[in-house]
Amino acid sequence: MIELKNIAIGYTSKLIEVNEMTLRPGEIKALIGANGKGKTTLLRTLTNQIPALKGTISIDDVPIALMERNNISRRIAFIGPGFKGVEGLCVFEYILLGRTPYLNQFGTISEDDKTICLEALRVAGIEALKDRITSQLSDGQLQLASIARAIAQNTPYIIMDEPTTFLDYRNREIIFNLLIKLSEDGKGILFSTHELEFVSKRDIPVIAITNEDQLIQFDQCPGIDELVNLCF
Amino acid sequence: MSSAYKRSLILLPITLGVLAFTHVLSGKFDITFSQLISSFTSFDPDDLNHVIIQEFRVPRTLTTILAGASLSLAGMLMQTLFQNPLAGPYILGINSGAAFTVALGTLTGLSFFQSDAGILGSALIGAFVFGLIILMFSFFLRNIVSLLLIGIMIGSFTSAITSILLSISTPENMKIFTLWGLGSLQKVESGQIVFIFISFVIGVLHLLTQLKGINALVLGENAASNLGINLRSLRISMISITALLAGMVTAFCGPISFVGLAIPNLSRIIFKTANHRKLTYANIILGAHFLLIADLITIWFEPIILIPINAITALIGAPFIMLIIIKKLK
Repeated sequence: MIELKNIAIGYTSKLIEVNEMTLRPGEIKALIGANGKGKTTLLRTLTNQIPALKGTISIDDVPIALMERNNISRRIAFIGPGFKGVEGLCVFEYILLGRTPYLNQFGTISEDDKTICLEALRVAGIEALKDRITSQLSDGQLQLASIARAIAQNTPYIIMDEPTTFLDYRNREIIFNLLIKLSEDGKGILFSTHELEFVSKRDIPVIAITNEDQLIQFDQCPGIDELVNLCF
Repeated sequence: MSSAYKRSLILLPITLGVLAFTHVLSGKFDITFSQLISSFTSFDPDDLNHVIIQEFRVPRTLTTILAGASLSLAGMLMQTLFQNPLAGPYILGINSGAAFTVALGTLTGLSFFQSDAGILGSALIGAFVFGLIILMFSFFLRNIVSLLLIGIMIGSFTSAITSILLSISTPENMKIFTLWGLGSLQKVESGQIVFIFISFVIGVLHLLTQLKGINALVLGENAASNLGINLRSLRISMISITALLAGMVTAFCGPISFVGLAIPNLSRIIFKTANHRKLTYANIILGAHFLLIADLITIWFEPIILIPINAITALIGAPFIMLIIIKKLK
């Protein structure tokens, strides 16, 4: 379980106050909040890219600040926004990079690593893209490849920053369905989003950053009107 | 795709061998293959051909191979570190550092600094001191673009001082400096090859231990960090290896341009991969090919005109690379 208790989050000055927030394996939660309210800052703090200003974040009862970087990468996979692909990097190589936390210094890839990545391709439904170059993929294909990379990372938790930005309606559905399926398979999923309609339609539990810079957890998705009044 | 890589594993070492032998056998004095062999099996110090082979030809060929490979690897590291295909081994100002100390040395007017050994010494000091300065900056600059800009600024600043030094220098000293700046693969003596070779081996071995981090770095610094990579130690390793490889070559051969910029790009285009294990091999072998061919052309033109190696690398290299880019990328 990822657990936050009495924590202040921000770069130098406090952005958000968190009394309590949890994410368990098998749960899916949507992070909602207005632009500039600190969604990305919260996600970056959760993955130890920036330290919490006050209090501790723990993963399975171990404070994240005390964990080795490599150990965090074996617990949490993070998919940042706006990955545009890399010239020369094919989809399979990209997914293999998800195995990085398990490799030795020389980056030696074993047959097991390859099997895990092939399985990740299958779960994400992009076997056909295996040898395509990432810089030539569409935004939807790239996002699926990124999720496959996170699956290959084999972590109990996956955290995503706005996974459906830039995507058309059909691709948003594909991504949301995949995220829900991954949570049903036992992964803890947390993603920031502005897609209130989708979240409400699928009744995904919500973590909201309010206008008063507080963090509130809902076990069920509240109505869109209530969320808009609370956050925007 | 990977079968092309496997074919190249066999094919490229063969063509490199052929090129290397052609390179050894080419020059003003005609030397036969059997003379080459006998110079190794039964060296006769009174045989002029044997002396030429052992003292000039073989060192030059080995220098060319090592310089081409080293500069290409250094360029690959800088392009990946800065995620910029326009970066090269000299982007952090290692060559300007070497040029500065060479200019400073020749200006003193002491004959030692005008000898080959003196120039080598001052270039070595310059390359490594400036490598260390950049390394120091990389300790406290978090942003990689800032580091790139600092490197370029240090380079410009140093070049300005160098040009002032040259303007108050004698014409003779200026000539020594200019000749060094043109680059040369024939000044390295057989005993000195060992230094280039050892630094190449150390550089490559250190690089191999960083492959995991370097591969993850193609996704950007944040993503690499999220994959468990310690960015600071990775960055320090990549800069140290570059300073060692590029610094050594620059000190011995002068600032050889273009190779370290072109070959890493060529390697990525030909091998269609971002896997740096394959790219390391590709850069070593293609870099050696490229510089051998460039130097062969200077050798063939020697009876007519002495062309500096730096002119050839760009003159034949640029159109050739352009052709490949246009063909491969449409």
